[in-house]
Amino acid sequence: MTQLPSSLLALHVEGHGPSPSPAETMIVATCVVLLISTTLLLIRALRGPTVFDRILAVNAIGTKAVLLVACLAFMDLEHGTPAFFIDTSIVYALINFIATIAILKYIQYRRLS
Amino acid sequence: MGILQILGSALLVVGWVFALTGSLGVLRMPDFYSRLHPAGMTDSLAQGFIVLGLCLFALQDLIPVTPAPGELPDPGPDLLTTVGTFDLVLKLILLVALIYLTSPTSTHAIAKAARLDRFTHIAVEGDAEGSRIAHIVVEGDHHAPLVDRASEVFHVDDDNPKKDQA
Repeated sequence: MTQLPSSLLALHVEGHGPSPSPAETMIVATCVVLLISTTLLLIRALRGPTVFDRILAVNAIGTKAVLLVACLAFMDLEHGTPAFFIDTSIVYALINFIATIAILKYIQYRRLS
Repeated sequence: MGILQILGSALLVVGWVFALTGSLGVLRMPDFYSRLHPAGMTDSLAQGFIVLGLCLFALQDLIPVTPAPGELPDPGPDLLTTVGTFDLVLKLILLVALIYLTSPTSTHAIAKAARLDRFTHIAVEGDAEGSRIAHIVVEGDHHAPLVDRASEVFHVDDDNPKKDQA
């Protein structure tokens, strides 16, 4: 095996190793909780009677996705470099905000300019 | 599992509670203005607690492991680990600050757009009445008939701008 400093590779190699540490279990459980809460918000986004309910739910789903990416960074803290994932989630937070404002502006004025 | 990781786990559990109750509130609350509250609260609180817990998880690397009897004491983190951890924590704090700025702003924007819906009456497909946000009675609202005053807010024509009256 070549010396790849990839966290994915480390995950794969350690996949058959000992059971995950309590810290890793906590991170995985946080991911699961975030997914459950995303599911609940998605039901509201699909059902929501008005367009504002949908925007509200989608905005909250975006925040949950940011948290999910930040949690994924910590799943392999001993081997990986989580800072890249945090960069991704910062960019996602910005995009989420701009998308919400853009959609609101569009449905109000029917134009984006 | 070190002391900081245990503290971080406690913060994560608090974050779970807020995330789940907030999502359940968004799903179960009766009308739109009620749903604004759980959505806005949890966006701020749950992400604050969860990212703070992750910060503590990252800082655990900086604490030297207590050596077992007969072993050499842990020399502590080297420079690269220290810099990497502080980089990580700095980015997490930046993330918290960013969401604390943007989340209430977008919640406020959604609420204001919904209030302005009594003027805009956004059309809904398959519903002649349009969006029903405008019919929700707000406690303490003034009951004067809501008339779209002749403002140019909603009917701005950028291509043929009116000249100023002066």
